Amino acid sequence: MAKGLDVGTSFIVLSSEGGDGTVEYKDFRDAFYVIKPTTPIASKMIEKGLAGKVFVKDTDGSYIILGKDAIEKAVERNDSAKRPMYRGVVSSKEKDARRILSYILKEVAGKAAKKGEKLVFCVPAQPVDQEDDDFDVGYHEDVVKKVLEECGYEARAINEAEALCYSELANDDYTGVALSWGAGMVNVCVMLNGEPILKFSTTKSGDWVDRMAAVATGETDSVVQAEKEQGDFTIAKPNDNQVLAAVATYYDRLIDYTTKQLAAAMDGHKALPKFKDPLPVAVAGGTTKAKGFVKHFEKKLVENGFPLPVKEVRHASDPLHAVARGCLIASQIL
Amino acid sequence: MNTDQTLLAVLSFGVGYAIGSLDNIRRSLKGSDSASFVSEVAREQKQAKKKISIDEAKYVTDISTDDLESKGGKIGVVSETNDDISSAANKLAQLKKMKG
Repeated sequence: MAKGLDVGTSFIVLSSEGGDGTVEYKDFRDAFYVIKPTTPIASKMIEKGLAGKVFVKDTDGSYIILGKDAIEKAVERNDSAKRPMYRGVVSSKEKDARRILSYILKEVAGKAAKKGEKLVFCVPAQPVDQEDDDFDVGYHEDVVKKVLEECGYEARAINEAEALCYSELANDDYTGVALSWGAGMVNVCVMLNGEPILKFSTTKSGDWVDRMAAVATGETDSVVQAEKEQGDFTIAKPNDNQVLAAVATYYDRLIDYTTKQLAAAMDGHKALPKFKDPLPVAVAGGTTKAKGFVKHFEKKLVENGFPLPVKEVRHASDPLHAVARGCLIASQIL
Repeated sequence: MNTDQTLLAVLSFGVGYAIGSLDNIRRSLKGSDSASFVSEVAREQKQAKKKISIDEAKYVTDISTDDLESKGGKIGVVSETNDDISSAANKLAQLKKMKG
């Protein structure tokens, strides 16, 4: 028995093999919101109001609401929920974030079925568009590994987009390109016969769309996120709803930016072989769920001079679980 | 001193001079070899010194979550899909094996 774990900025997804050719997923929204009562009476009232929600009580008496309940509570209070991770990694400066991420990871992964059970989790690649001391993949990997080892697992990290290749390129002899569009970043991997030959990331994705649309419309990030996930909009198309109109516009800019970064990072790269056949490009992640994403991305790839021959752009059949599925496949052989 | 003795003396001096010169050349060559050897060792040591670095990876301190008292519902939404990943895993394993 082995498991896969997608440790994402927006979602944490555990994957494991069920019985008779099934895969089981356990998803949890990676968010929290803190309410600190000022009086004992207020504390009792708050706790009563949180009935049915997922939350914990801290030693200082504050309530930490977790998951989608945190986003709902933040929206209710015209505020933004917090994230234990930022741009794909746990913040090395935010002490609370690390503790809350640990709590969520322990709850989602649970105890290992037996000591030393294998678990493969994903980490992002180094970004090509930002030099940031706070972006420490090594530290992030060590934190996640430590938490999982405390749960009894023998944990091993692989790159997020590499996991996506394992999930989506089986019918292409594991040769092609995969892009994982998470909330915090876009991770890219070029694979040749099962071997990753180029991995990198860019630091703008779904959260950037939310932030920019929030600034443009005067709403909070959580309100924009909720509108984006529930509303009806098509990328680069006008919309009567001002929040969704802003979201559709920033999506267009995000795809344009990312495809330009792809072309710049890959053009003439020494590690890339001359592929004799056009390559499939697989995309997945919550950000790819927007209407018109694949078509728009395909168009921008051509416009911005993607340097490799492309056979097709393929949307993962289960875009929210594809990375966790890839981690599970990797856990069977690594 | 007769002519033969003079010739012998000159010849002896000549041979001695030649041996001395050759020895000087040998010594100077040996000297330059050891000098270049010493500089080579010094260069290698310098290079080796450059490669030595200290591991500055940030230490992960203990992360206790015991003080967080669970109050609400259970974490995580569980779903199941029909999906046999064994063929994909076998194919990948074969490719990795071929690559050695």
